[in-house]
Amino acid sequence: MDPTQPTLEIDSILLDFGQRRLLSDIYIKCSHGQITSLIGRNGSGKSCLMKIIMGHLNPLSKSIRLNQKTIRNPFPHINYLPQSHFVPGHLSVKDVLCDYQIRASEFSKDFPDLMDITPQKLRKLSGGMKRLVEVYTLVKSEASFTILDEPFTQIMPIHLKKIKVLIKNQKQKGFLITDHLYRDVLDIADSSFLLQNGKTWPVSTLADLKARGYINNL
Amino acid sequence: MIYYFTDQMRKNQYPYYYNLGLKKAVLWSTTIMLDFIIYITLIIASYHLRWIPHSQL
Repeated sequence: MDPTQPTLEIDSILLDFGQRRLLSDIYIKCSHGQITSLIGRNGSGKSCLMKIIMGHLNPLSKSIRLNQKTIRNPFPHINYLPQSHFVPGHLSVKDVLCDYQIRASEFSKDFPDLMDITPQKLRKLSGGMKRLVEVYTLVKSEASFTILDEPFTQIMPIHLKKIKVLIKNQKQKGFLITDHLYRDVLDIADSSFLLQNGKTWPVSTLADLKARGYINNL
Repeated sequence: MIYYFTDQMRKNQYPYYYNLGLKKAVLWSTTIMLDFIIYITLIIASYHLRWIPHSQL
């Protein structure tokens, strides 16, 4: 890992839900050109952690640092793909790409089979297509770091394979990805963390996930 | 009321605008300002276009 590369560090997070402490010992580091993955069971706090990074959720304490400087407003450095569909349905695929300064021709080049959907409105597309457009837009956007919450869910295998290649090839930005499709996530990740009992544990193989009780068999 | 229901119905769309650098306050103040301008314009227009009986001209 090149020490001169821009880095995003997340730590000192304390988040309580009522009497329950959800997040306590967190340390995640992402660098440019690197893919960091976050794996964890349902309700372990992955999405909460992402919302905290984006400033949508206020914990008791947090430290989000970009190049060792604390940041309060993530824009324009970090952008975020939430779990649910977030693009307004009245916009066309072309409008969305244009808003995020991506050429429609680039999308057609990457997904030639979807060339005809660019003039269509998002509300006319299927859930999987919508998700693909959303993920593609954020992967190609200009932010230094992109946080993707369940980007692979709903996307069909042939497009998923292409999206993984696109993410892997984006060397001018860093990614923090969480998804339950752990094989796909581990496949492209340079470093991985398992979020368990409010703490992050470094993991790298399926055996590590089994040892920590995230999966039953390899 | 309008704020509450719109906010609830469209809260999943906020990240689209946040990613473009538009905060919730900017979105709402712009919308309310535009709404107010349209309201004032319609009041002025309706005053000028009001029907006056011939007998009162």
